[in-house]
Amino acid sequence: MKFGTEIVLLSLFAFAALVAADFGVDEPFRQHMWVLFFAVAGFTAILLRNTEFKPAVPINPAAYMDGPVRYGAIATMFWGVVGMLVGVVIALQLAYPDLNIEPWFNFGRLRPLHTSAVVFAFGGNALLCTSLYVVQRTCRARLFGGDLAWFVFWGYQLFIVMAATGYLLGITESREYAEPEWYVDLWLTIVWVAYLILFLGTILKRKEPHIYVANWFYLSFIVTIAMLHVVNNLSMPVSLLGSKSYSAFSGVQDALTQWWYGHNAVGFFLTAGFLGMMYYFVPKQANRPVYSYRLSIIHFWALIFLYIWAGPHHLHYTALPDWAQTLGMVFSIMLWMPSWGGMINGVMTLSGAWDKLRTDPIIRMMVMAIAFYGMSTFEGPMMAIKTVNSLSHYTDWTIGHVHSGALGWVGMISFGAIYFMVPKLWNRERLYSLRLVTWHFWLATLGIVVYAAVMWVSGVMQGLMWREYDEQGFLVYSFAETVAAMHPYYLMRAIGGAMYLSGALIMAWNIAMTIFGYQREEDPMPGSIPALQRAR
Amino acid sequence: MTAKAQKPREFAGRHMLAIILAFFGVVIAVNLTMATLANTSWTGLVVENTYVASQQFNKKAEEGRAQAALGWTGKLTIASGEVRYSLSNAAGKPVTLHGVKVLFRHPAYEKEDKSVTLAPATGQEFAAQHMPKDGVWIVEVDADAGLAMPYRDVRRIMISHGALQ
Repeated sequence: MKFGTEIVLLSLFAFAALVAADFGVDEPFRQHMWVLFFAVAGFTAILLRNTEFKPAVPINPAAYMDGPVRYGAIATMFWGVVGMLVGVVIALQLAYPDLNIEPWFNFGRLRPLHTSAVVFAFGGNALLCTSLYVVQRTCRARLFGGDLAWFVFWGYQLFIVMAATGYLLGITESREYAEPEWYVDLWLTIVWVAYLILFLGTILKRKEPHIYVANWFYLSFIVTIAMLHVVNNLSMPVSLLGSKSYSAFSGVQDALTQWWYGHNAVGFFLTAGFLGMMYYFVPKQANRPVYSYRLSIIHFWALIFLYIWAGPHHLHYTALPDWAQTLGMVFSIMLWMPSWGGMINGVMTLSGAWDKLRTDPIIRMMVMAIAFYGMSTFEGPMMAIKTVNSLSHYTDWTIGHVHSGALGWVGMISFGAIYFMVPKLWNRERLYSLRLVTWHFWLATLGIVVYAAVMWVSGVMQGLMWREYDEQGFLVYSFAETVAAMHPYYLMRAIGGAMYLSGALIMAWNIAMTIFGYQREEDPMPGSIPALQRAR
Repeated sequence: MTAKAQKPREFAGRHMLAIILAFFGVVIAVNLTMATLANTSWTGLVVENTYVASQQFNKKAEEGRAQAALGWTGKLTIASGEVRYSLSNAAGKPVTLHGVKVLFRHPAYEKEDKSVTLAPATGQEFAAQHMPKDGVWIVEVDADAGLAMPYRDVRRIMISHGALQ
């Protein structure tokens, strides 16, 4: 029977959720368990509708397992649109506080929903599906562990749903980028270990003797996130049927643990994993080898050795010992070099084929991503310098920096990878429309430029207003005055975000039409049909 | 159409170089501007190193308690361009002083800080000519009363029309 074991186990899981929904000791936990019950029961019902009693078709062990990759590509697109939409909503909430709708949709609950949705749901699904795509092709091996990949995919979606609904219900650990409570953390741990086994197992059964560098980046991302997640979320629940837990650490130790996690989430989730993506999809789309394979190895090891120490730069001028603050600052500055090593390697892969930037909007998107990677990895070390941080910290300058990395680097490289993969995954000759990719490219790029420039200005303005003293030694501005001064910038930021979101919506349409098998009739991109070569 | 119009506009390495240089030129220029602003504006720092200050906190608090136990009262007057300081003990009798230093710290601008050494004046009072600008000042008085540590009197004061309010 198809899905037999799954249906039995999921029914038991749904029943357990139902019991917990009844016996939960606090109201948010009971509500959350109802969400879990309906999610799992609904999924079980879908499996029941699709079950068959015919003998299973034998699986060809030589073929790649692309089912979870296809689902992952769709999930990436879906969560991307959701996360970016929430981003535009909270940007507008800052500009118009009346848009805060209590209790579920106020800024405090929607903000972690936005960060988690774009980082873990959009970025996480992009990493999950591209890593499974890349590891099979560069190892020439089918995914390890049979249906393990399906467990990882659906288990991760359940984590996202539980995390997102938890935030809206007011369930939070209040740890930056790690807000889900203890039971959701435990579930993610199980899923993540399964992901590690899946990825490592596939590498171990590879038919290609060499492990391509992209797999090193993906593997470092999976291993490090496992370590960071477990240590940062060490906590003691108040009740096994309650939604509240307390951290194992307190005071400055807790702060450092959180930023050791927080900064390495940036370093290993948003950087190493996406560099893995870059190292596969940029050479494939450009049809050129990596510029320097040696550089890729050097910058890989340099990057992972340096990143892990950079976290304390988030805690300048705090109770953290001074040597630790200095250490964080120095390692952040040193990180500039391996980061730019990666950028140079990515951009120079196009060496000798620069004209593709004119003719191929997908490669243009990828190169723009790499340029923004260079921008945010220059700005990061700059802001990690203690005296610069004294102005930039707590201001929009930080928000602008994060978004040049997130919208520019993470978003654009993921879009490029999805545009590359989708026609191949669904055996389509080409995308529905390349012209729409060009639209997406310009909307996204201009959106980021507006966003980053506005945040630069408003961040520095905000920081300087906070510091402004008059001749007689009085602060010139009250805090409320600095907030009022931000209004026009908040509005422009929302417009930049909306442009980026509209680009993503165009992409979703393009991807959907490609999957359905349509091809838009349009003029080819200029130069994409080879012109007659001049005699040399 | 002429043959000239048919010629494809090739995008070459030099174009890419120009774009990259322009892009990073803007990014680096903006960041350096902001870093300069950060380094030249007031930082709000009270101590050079908060962690080291935190390590000295208990010792300083102990010294403060010991000084408070004396029950002495300092009298600071600023008027007509003159700064005067005197100390009286718990019984209200003047304390013999050997020297008094007063540091006027501007809350925001270090370059406005001014250290004034007072000289013996009438009775047990010490005085010097100094006219602080109107506004807020943090005054740190170090009075040598022959103890192991100078008697330390720190106040946040307001000067208006040249006189202490």
